[in-house]
Amino acid sequence: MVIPIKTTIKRVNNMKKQITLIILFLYLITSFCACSIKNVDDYYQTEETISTDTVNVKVDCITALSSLPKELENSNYIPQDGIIIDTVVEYENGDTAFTVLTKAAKKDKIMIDYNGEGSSVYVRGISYLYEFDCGDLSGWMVSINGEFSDVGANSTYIKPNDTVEWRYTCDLGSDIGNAYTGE
Amino acid sequence: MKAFSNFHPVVIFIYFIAVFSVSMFTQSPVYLLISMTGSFLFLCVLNTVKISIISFLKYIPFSILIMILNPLFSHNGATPLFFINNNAFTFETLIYGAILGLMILCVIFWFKSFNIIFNSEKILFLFGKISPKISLIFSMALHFIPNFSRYFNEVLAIQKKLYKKSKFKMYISCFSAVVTHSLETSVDTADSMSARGHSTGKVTNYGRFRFKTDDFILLVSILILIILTYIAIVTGASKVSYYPVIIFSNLDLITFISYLAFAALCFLPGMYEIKEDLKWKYSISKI
Repeated sequence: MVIPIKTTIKRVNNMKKQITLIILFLYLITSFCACSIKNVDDYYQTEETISTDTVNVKVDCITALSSLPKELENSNYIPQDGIIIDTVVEYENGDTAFTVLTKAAKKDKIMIDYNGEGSSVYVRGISYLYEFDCGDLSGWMVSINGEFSDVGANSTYIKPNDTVEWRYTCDLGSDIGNAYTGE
Repeated sequence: MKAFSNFHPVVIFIYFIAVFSVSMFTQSPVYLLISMTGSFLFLCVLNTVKISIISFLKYIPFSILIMILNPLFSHNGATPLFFINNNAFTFETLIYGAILGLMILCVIFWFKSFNIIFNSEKILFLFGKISPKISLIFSMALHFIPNFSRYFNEVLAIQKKLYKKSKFKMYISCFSAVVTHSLETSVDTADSMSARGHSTGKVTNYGRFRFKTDDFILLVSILILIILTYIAIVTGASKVSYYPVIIFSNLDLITFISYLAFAALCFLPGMYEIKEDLKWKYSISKI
């Protein structure tokens, strides 16, 4: 039996298509497995670790209170006094200003939104208060024991008993004591 | 069956700008749904119902993709459904993604009917006085693309009958033939244009469009409807805020009038086409 060339070409093409589909499917499945998916209760469950060292975490938006966006006014996301988080969390080796914030937010069930991974983490919003919500020069800044760091939040390593303060600025830092000098 | 295209180009252009501006810049689902149904009706009248439904179904996966992608990049919103890599996948971003998808669908559909109604003659008429050279180039470029694809298909059909090459080789040789041909014709066009005295004087163009009373009535009604629509949008009466929780503003009189006005604006061309069609059929039946 002679198989015409055209049909064999078609078959090969079909096979190619099927193989690419299978590879795509496998890729999707593996990338899906690589994501860790947690439901809401699991996410907010805090693990009990036995550690004697602690870190103070404070998050405030006192500067933003006078110019809050309409959606956040009179809502229970931003307290009247502007202090969103004021807790003590356990210190682990290698903790940074960012990891401590995530711990405190999980503990108090506060929402945080960030971009990036590793040293390029950037915190866009805490408790639905986002960067640029109070003007073009507004956003979140972090200070450790009152000193603002020049590197990313996930590269700012901290020591036990430090006080990590996340503060909202409406004027590129000059209203919370960290004026941008351009150096 | 394009009665709407018989209106004056300025009026048609203002109509499309009005509809586009509302569909593109409001994020309220009510306006978008009204706009979607209006554009769908208009396209159904311009094409057939079957073609419109098929093209609608074609674009649905695209908007679903936008709807799913939005929560992966934005984590705002008060009701998290689950957490992916410690980032919230929230209900609000999902809804906002759906609204974005609907908006893109709307704009694509209005542009489809815009393409059918607004041909190169109208573009030349509208912008010919402002900048004759650019509008000439623009209309030539618009003319070039369908010409190119038509000629390409012709050459391809001949090549398929004549040779038994592989598909890739066939397409390559077709492409080179068509490019050569279009270069030649462009030289011809330039020659012919200079022979007829192009660039010796001012470029004028003949427009067969006259501003009639019908155009005036349509223009005034479009302006009234769009102003009524914009009152609610500008004052924020019809605003929907999505973050952190979805809040619909209350349905007061201004908003209701605005919705009605926008619905009238969106259904206007489709209804007009249907009316003219019925008129035509009635007058044929009398003969």
